[in-house]
Amino acid sequence: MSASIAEIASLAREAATDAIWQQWAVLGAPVASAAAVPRSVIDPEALLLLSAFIRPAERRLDDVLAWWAASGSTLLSVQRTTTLLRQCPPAARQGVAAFAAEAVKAGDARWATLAKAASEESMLTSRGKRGGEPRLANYRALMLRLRAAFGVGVKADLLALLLAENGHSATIRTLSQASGYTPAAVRRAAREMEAADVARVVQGRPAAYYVDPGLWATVLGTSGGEGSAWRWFAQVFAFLAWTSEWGQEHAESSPYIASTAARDLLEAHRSAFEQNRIPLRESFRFASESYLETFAETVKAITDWLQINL
Amino acid sequence: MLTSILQAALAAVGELLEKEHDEIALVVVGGATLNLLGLIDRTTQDVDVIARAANPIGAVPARLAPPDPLPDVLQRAILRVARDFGLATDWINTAIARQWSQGLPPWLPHDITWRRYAGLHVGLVGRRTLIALKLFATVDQSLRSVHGQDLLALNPSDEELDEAAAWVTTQDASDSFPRLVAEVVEHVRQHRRDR
Repeated sequence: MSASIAEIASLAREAATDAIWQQWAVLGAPVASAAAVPRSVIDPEALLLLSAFIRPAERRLDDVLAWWAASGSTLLSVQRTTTLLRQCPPAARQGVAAFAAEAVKAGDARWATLAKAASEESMLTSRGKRGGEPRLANYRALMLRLRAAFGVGVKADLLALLLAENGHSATIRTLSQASGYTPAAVRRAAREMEAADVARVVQGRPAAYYVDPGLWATVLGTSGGEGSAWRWFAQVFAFLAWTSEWGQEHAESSPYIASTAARDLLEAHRSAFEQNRIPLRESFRFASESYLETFAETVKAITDWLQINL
Repeated sequence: MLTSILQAALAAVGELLEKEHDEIALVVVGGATLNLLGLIDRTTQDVDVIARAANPIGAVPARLAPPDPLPDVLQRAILRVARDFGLATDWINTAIARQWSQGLPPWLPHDITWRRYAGLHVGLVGRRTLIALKLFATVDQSLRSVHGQDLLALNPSDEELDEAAAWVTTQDASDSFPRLVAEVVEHVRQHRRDR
């Protein structure tokens, strides 16, 4: 019995919703404590974008976004938000614009361009439930913590990514894909960090960089072995958002039309699986109702992965 | 391609056309037609499109035109279905439409059965046209070819063979051509099942 289009989309949407509530709770947002505690480093822009997408169905997120606009917007990269926004369904744009408008109101003028898309109806409707200061000392908030310490920029993000790699090396290409900065900017920053003896290079083709997490343990208050590996949440979140969108768009579609669109979706978001090493079942011989079953298994695989790796 | 896959693939093309609010009518000959009409049961590699039909679809005689170039929306649908069903990218093709330069069987516009797959209308030519085209192809490619086998499987009557032969002999001006046609016709008469 094939899973229905609505069931598949619902699975993705619920996993996405759970993930963002858990991550916001880690950052100290005014939300009830989540049952599960995330273990991996939070990708702050990916969290913002998925929240912006989910927001129409979860109005309580307005409180969180308003809180974050007032207390954490300066720790976000507008450039990276804009870059990642291109990978999200259009529905996320209104939420991002509403957040940006709130951030501008709070004095962070960097968001002015993104705020232009905000409409009267899309503005955040916070119930004034303000939280405290963001909790940055947590290891999961590493990227935000380093930005708070060193400023929002390529070097703080590279350091966060390399620390999250927990002593393993990463190529310029990988760092560029993870950070959203151009390979040229990442290469320049990595070389300067190497010159400063903050990062170390593994010679080879291509060259790769690493940092010794043990050396940072005193500064960050973490032990060398604690660090979670970096997870490619931006790609996973985009896939979940598009799957939810797919469910809405194809609620009335035939199994074939929904299947062929699902296949497009999967091909466009293959990197979410490859970069996170989530096995992807290939079964494209006959794209009919049977393909929806395969797609359902694929969505289940990524939501299971998310539960374990969040 | 099995008949069940062929049906599903055509239905998929039709759904894609319908999604684009488009409607296209193709006239199909060859193995796909033989399968879809249930005249023979063999795998086929492709769908041979000989013509497009204009509205009103189903009118007799049909208003036919050369199919090339296939509309962009149809070409996109063909490629997408090829990807999804693991078919060759030219699984629907118009190679047979070269026949327009030499002439089609004159009765063809009266010899079409229509099937609808959402936005795709498929016109299946009847026995008369199939026998004529298969006879021509057999003369061209030999009795052992798939066309020769199909022609025998169609088990044509004397009248059908005579009508087909009369048309086929108009397709080539060479002196030896009528004799080649006659040889094939004679072979079919001798080897067809008893009628």
